[in-house]
Amino acid sequence: MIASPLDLILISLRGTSLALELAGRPQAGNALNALANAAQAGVNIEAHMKTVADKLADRSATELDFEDVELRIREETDAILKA
Amino acid sequence: MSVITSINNNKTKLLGIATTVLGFIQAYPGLRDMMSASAFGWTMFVIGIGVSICGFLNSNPATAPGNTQNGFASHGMLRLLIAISLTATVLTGVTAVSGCTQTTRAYKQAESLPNRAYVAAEHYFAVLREARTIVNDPITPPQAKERIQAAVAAATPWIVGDPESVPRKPSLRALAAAYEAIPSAATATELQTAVDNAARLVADLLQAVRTARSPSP
Repeated sequence: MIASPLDLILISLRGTSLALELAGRPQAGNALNALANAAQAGVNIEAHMKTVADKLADRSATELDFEDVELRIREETDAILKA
Repeated sequence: MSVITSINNNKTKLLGIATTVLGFIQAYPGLRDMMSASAFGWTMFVIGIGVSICGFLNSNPATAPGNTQNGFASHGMLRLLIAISLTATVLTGVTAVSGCTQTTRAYKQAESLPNRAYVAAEHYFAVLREARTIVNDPITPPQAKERIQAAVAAATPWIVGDPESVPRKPSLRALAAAYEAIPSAATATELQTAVDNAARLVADLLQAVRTARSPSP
């Protein structure tokens, strides 16, 4: 599968971060890595919301859709609170 | 062999790879959908500059007689490239985090109140999943982890419901079902209030996630 441009940018960000750390600049490397993580989170959320938007373009949400998302929310919540 | 010499010895290969990657990003058909129109415009602008720099470096004359690969990289040039890359990185990070193109599209696509409630729940789940990644990350500071856990503990009952709480916290699903069964002003107001509340809780959690991911000073 061909990576998207954002994937390539994120890979290069992490590569630059690693290079900075190896070059003896750990703070700059960590800052860049944190930025890459934040960008990754934004990309993941956007990807998920795209599937939701595509679904609603075809049809309305059903009772089953609500049940499904509730189940996923409960699972994630349990995992977070137990961490 | 130093890093500079290594780069100089592979000048054409490295610039060829860089130009190909930039060309791929520029030509990628889904890129426009991933960001806002202005972010897309700025991205194309930055890529254009990157291609120009590659072209300039590739045509830079060699300084060592007989070695056509020489004279390309220097410490100053590398510092300049790192500075440009960091600037582009910051722009990309800000765009990716605050673009929200697909999230806005999802909310716009939901024309009915129950659909809006569904989008709010899915949005909450998407942020929750990222929050889980952060709390499981060993480098996350304990304070940031606790802040996320507190935000999640406060928000989830309002999304999936908590029948044992006082006052009662009905789920978005229950309120949407009640509205669909009897589409009155009362059920509409109750559902609308719950959707607005869910949007606020998502924003709170998103803020906790962003703070946890911010580079520490």
